[in-house]
Amino acid sequence: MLPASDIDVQNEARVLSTEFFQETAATRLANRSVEAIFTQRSVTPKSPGTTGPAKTIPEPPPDPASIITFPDFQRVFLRYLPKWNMINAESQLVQQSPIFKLHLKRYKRLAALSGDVLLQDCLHDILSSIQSLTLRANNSSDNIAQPNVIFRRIVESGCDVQAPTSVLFECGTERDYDSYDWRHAILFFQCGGQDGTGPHATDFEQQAAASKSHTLGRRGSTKPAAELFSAFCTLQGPQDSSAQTGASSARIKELRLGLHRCASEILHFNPMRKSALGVAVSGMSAYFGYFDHAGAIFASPIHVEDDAGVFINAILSACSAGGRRYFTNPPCPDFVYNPVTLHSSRLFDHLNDTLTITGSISSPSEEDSRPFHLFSTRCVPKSGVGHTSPADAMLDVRWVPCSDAGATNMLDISRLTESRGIAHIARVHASATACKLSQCERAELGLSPSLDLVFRITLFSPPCVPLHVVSNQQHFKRAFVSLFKGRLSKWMFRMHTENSVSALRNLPPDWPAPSRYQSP
Amino acid sequence: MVSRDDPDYGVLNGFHSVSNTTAAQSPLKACAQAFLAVDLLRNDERPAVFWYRHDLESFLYVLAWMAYRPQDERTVHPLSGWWRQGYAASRDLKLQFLKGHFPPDDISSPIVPLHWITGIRGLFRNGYGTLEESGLDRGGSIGFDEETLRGHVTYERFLQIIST
Repeated sequence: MLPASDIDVQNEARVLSTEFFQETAATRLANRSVEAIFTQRSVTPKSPGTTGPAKTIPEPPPDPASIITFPDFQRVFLRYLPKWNMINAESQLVQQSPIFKLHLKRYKRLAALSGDVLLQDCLHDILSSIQSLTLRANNSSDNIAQPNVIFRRIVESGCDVQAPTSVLFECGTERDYDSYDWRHAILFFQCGGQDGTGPHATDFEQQAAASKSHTLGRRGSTKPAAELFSAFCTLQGPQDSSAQTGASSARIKELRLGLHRCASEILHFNPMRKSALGVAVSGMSAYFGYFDHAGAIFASPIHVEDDAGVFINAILSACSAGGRRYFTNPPCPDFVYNPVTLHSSRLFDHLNDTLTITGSISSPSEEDSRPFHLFSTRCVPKSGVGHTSPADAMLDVRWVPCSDAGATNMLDISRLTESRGIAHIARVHASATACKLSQCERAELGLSPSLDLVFRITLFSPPCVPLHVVSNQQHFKRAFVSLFKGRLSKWMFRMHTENSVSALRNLPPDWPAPSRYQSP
Repeated sequence: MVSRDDPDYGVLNGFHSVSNTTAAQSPLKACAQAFLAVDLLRNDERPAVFWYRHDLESFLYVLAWMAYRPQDERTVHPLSGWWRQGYAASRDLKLQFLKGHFPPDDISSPIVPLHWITGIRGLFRNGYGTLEESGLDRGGSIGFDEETLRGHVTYERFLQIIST
């Protein structure tokens, strides 16, 4: 068995973006059904999946100090795009256009009234004006390579959002609306007027708990609210200048919490995704947020009207940056439905095969404390070289704490169980890390080592299917019982009496189960 | 999981969370709340010791999770309180499950043998019953066999049930 090896992050990012998950527009067009799948999993502010029962939601803690100035946020999370100049030009065009000014004026008038259901329509109009104007700009320049900005309300995509004064938008860049995979969209969460008469987070909980109908089509939240807040990073930032925008601090907390819940769910079900960007609009204030698997960082609010140019610019940048939030370029969460090829030597330095991902075996579910994705792979040796990995194997991808010794232990377990002849344990062939969160977008801001995560890729065999998809009861029974018979069960005893992987190293070849476990 | 090439061959994988622990370290950080034993979800002064029977109990919850898993993934799992709510609520719900109060049998999957679930949860119901009677939770009953809950939960009994 070969040891795990960390891969140079920059090299790995390049490999992943250029070879690992290559996908063409044609293949994405061929997989339009994927959007339907996502539609069922979309998140909403009042989804019970994103909120949980009302009684379990504690009072929000004091505003976390994970707030940075908007210019810093823009510089770190939005402004690294190569097409920055184009975005600047587009945002100026939008800002100066009569239609945008008209919608903004109307929105301002309604925001002052607050709680008006028309507010969400008006915000939609503003977004639509940005969308249509950027579409026009792209068409006029005949620059067909540039993607267009598209906003889509979840209510229009078949989801059963019924919140009276709130609406969730998704936003991204894609020329073909129908084939666009919204899983790499940014989020828009709007929550009524600035005096707080709109729905509060607790309202969502109560409505969700009271209405079973909302449970359909929703996935559960992976973390309760308190955990979400505790997951905020430990950056020390400036005080929130919410006073100038008229929004109460409690209101802002709710907005941010709602946004964070949505982002957390999206990230949970998409382990391939590194991060997400979100925007909450309340009254005339816009709150931008960056979210990854370790927590959230918010920008101080900006004024939608006074900072209109900055607001538009930030939205366009966020949309354009959406694809960079993946380990894929272009973003292709549905890549598993198409055979893709990677060279194992780029991922695992001791392997020399070509791995082809042939399908998805298991996707993250809400029960997973650490979501992971399993893929089936086929390994083909390069010419003149024998197999260095099994012909059929599985690829496991997940985020794990940097401090965990899990990979070493996993390899130890695999090696020891194999040498002891203990069956029914997956054999790990290779394990590598691709990227640390602290080295992704938030590199400049840093991340506490205790919160840092690493993206781990593990190759193991034999090829399997999840037990819960077995359709024959006899097979189910035999497979389940096989896990408890023979030496595997003895090994499991050992694991839990000694509580140590290292204890396995001293395991005698024919170690018996201790008598104290026998029935009296 | 099950081997793709041999449908009778079970495979354990996902050892990413395995860690070397000492008695002073809690192994709970690596566990999924959904399948955590009720004994490990409690919040009292009794120190949490990780016994093998806790694994057997987790297997029961895995079986139940599969048995009552809705066919339509948009439908909320009837046991979702095990992981959506806090430890205390999750513990209460699992105790109700062990007592057979929930969920109704008629919504179970035809693939997972229901008599396994009823049999195994009977072991734990009786075992936790004796634990409660022993007064161990209240600091009494020195000498109580906590490891097997006075012999109610053993590997042999578990295997006997799933062998039928």
